[in-house]
Amino acid sequence: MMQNIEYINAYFDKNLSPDEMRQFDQKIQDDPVFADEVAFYCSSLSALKDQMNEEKKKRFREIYNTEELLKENKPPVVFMRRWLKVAAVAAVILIILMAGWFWWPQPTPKEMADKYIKENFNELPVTMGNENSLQKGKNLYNDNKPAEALEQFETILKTDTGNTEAKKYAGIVSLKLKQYDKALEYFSDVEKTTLHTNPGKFYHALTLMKRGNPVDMLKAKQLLHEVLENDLAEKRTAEEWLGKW
Amino acid sequence: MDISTYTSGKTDQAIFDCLLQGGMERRKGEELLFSTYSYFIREGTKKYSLPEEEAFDAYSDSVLSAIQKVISGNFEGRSSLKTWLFQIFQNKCVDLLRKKATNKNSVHNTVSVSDMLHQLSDTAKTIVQKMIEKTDWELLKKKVSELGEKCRELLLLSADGYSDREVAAQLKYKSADVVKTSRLRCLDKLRQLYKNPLHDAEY
Repeated sequence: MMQNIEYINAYFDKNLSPDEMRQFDQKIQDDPVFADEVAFYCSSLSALKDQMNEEKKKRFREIYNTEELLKENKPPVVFMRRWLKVAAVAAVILIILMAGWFWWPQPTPKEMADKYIKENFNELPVTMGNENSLQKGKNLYNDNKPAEALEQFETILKTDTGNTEAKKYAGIVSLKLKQYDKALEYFSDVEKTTLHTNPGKFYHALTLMKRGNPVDMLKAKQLLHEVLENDLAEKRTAEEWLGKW
Repeated sequence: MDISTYTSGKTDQAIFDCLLQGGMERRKGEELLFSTYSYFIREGTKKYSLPEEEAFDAYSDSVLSAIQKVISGNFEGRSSLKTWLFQIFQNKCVDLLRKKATNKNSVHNTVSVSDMLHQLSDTAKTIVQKMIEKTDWELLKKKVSELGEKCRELLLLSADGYSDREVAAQLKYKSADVVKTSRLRCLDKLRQLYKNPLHDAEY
């Protein structure tokens, strides 16, 4: 019997020559007792393997139970870790947003002034009806004839030196023509008048911002503060600009 | 094959190193592999609505199957160890669900037997398979437990894929040849016990 087991073992260990393997195969077909021994050899190896796997599974079960027990004993830690992770991510996002707020390039005062002029002084407001001299000036400006518009407003002021509207528009057109000194002169005059919503001080600051000298900037900032404190025209814009300054 | 090329992390590499080293290191590798991806069990309970016990069985079987493939050099390394193991695990879960659906419970896993017979001609294979089908697995299992501890341990290690040389080192045998002779004697003894239940048990 032992001889047969050695022979069977040699076959499954692939230690037989091709000829011997063919003979082995034939012997299974011819000899039922030998075939039964081969079947038992295979069955026993399979059963042993299964038993080995069962033992390994028992080991795995012990490991798994230990791991689960450890997890169960540490729920607050796991929760805290998750919570901390979320908090950390939120903190990082907040820091990035704050850094962006502080370090994101803010527009310069000159850029703010340019934007305001582009948005507000592209056209002057006109009224329907008979064209008076002030209206004529505004139409000239809107027809892209700023020099002629300024001449028109100055003509009005020669005969009507106290015409605040004409002074305001003369200042705006001067600002558009980059005649800053002249614009400042007109806006300073507007400032002194007692208009209900007097934009003189704001336009004065705007002109200084547009001219952009260091001293102009200091003065402009001061004027914007005054607009804010005295609740003058364009108070909201002044507040916004000071926030970005 | 340089397995490190195909693995994703140091842990996977450590698992492969231990498994391929053999001996007690292999046992360490088996346990490390099991622990590393044991969270699959929870995935199994969620994804396939399996009871924890069944998901555990599916995962354990997957780990054992993976170990066998790595040791026999059949891990092709086309994906990471995690991906590969998860694929095996998913297949096991699906098999389990199918078995439940058709109400089939396999008493004994005969896959390893089929693997052994692949060299035989179809005629010889059919003869042997028919004889294997008649095996009383419970009796055989009982007789294995009746073998002496030394014999049992030797046979289990051999069945687990350890070479005679590795078994000799682990169980302090003089040589691999002595292990081989002892192993075959133990198998012969098991056969006698199985075929003749009145045979003297201790060996």
